[in-house]
Amino acid sequence: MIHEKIHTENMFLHYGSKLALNDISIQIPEKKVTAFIGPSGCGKSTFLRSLNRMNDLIDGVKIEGKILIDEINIYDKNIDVVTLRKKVGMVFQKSNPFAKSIYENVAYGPRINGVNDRKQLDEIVETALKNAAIWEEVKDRMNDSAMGLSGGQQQRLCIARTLAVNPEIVLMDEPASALDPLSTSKIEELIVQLKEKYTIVIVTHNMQQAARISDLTAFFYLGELIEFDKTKKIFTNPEKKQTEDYITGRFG
Amino acid sequence: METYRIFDSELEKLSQKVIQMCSQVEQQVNNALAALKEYDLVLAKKVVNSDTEIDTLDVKIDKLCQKIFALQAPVASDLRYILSALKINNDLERIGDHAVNIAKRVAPLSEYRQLISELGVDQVSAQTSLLFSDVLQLVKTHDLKICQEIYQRSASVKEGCHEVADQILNEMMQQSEIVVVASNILIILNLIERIAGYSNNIAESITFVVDGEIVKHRKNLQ
Amino acid sequence: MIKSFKKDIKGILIEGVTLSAALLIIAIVVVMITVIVIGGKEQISWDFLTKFPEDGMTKGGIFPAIYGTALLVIIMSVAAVPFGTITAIYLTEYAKENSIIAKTIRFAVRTLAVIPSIIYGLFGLGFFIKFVGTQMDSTFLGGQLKWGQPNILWASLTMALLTLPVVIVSVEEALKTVPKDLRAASLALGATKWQTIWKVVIPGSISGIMTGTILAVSRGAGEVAPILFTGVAYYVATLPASLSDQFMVLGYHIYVMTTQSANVDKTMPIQFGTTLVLLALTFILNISAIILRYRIRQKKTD
Repeated sequence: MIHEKIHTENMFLHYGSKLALNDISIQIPEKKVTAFIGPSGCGKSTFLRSLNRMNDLIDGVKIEGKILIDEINIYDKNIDVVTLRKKVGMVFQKSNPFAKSIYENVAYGPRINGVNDRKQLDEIVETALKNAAIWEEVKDRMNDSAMGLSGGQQQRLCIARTLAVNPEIVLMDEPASALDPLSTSKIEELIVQLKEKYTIVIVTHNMQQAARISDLTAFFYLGELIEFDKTKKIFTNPEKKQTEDYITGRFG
Repeated sequence: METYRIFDSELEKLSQKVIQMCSQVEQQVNNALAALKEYDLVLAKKVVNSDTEIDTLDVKIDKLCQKIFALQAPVASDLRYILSALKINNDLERIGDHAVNIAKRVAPLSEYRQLISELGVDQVSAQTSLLFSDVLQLVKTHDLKICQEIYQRSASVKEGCHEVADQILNEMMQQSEIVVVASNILIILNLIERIAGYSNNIAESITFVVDGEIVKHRKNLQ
Repeated sequence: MIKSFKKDIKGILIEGVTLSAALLIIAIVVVMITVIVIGGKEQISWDFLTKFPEDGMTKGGIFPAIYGTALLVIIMSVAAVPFGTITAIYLTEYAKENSIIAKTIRFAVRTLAVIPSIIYGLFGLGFFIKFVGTQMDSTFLGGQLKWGQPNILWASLTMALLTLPVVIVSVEEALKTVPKDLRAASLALGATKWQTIWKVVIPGSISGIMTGTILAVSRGAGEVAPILFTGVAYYVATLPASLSDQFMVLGYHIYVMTTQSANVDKTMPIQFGTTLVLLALTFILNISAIILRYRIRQKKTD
């Protein structure tokens, strides 16, 4: 049986007085790509950010219900957020490398975790860059500023930076929305490769992208999880009319 | 929530063309069968000549589907509809060809009109006409209730064809001089049977459009 | 399509008036700088910069004033920059945007910025010298007068108070230029808030912090009023050797020569020289601040 990596039960999220997520129960399997789709403001990004508690940074967010990762409720009082975030990494919409060298960007995570041995760091950095399929492009300029890379390269560097912390889950918030088609397809290829080792959850506005790379697709609308099924099923024969209307572009 | 899509006008166009194709093919089938029954060589000639119109429409539908696939990246029910439109179009085009083949074989039968009538070819023809008007109705309405009727009718057409064929084989054994004409009738029966088969395919395609379920080969796969 | 003559006249008039106002500004700056440079350039020499005043300030150099100014701004920066930076970090990184405490701090900072500098001088006298200094003397020195009188420490701390708003505001601006995304990236990698501030936010805004420092220094170097009662001296024969010593400062030196000298005409060249030195100093400091700020903007648009 496929192991349920992330599992939420009757999860509600209030943003101030607004109900942003309404009764979300979902089971996300391990080592698969799960895509969240839905119109802007449907709560898919908010839900994604709840999975590594990035919402803690926003004032007025209140969460009820259970979010379990490996059967542990990540909103329990005794959960250390810092440890959680090492386990659940995140890649953002806009590539956001630090104004440091390529090497130091990737080494940042290991360093804050106390890895200081140069040889060990070298290894981690190389593995992460290889896993993010950017090693060949940057291996000869590791000490150059990361800001000199192209948008697509920067985003893969950010993925490498996330992988360097050795997470089990990688959350991606529209990771290719600001990229040209070629860079986008590189990122997509990469995501498909990454699912061998990691559980990937990706928010995307690009439905073709969700269709191309994900194994499962969840459709969110107005803070509710309308439908969650195999991607193939969602894109050929969705159960719910709202899903059908959204993916065929009949939505207002 | 519903919004107008440019896409929708393309789909509408496609739907119109498929219906047009279907009614033209129905016309051809009916004309071919009527020519066979009445030994109407003029009508038979007309059927043969009308095939180019169907071929033109066939190409138009193919191109339209191709364009929608390339430009609109259809999904879900849209995807199912366009996939089915391609297949239905293909099936209709084959049926049209079969109608032409039937019409082409009307002339050599002149001396044996009596025999044909006695064998019960006319009944099979009549059944086929009814079957095909159901098909046209289904393509127009996507009403799945019609499917069952199609499956039944097509089964009885096939059965009728087999019965007639058995009789013809018997006749052939008794009167060796009718071998040539009898083979002709056997071929016509075979074409009619295939028209019934294609009608089933069309019913299955429409079921896929509406339900998203693949019902073809179900018996074989189970 | 035909131009209206009336409108034309009005247009020309308005343009003329505004242009003249603008040109007047340039004229003032040019005249001011020219007068100072012409009056002072003869004075500038190695001796002038490195020697003590002689003959009732009519001869010699201004070294103690340069030295005192430098020492003042250094001690002031040591006090104001860390304090201001820490406050700015609290405001941008920890305080909730609209919390009462953040609003109160911002209000206090704005108020500090508009208080006339002479009032800082009086506050320094009352607080540092009369209160803190006197308390220190009676507690540690048995009432012997050492800290309860004007000195360079109290003057620098008073000046630090004056420049604090400059530091806080510019550091805050600098911290804000570090994109939220970078903070989020760091936190998402499992960094703590402090690690994020220390390793991402501060390195990303270091040139902004420097700009704030330089602006504060240049403000401090030119101000006289806050140190008037708290430490600056008319004339001291030795350089300040301890924090409890009094000292000389360029700005005050000019004031003294112009108003207190027995022979104002004789001190005139030295006045010009000193003014030129002070002007050059603040000019250089401001230019470096502008260059730094420009470089930050460049980086931001990259």
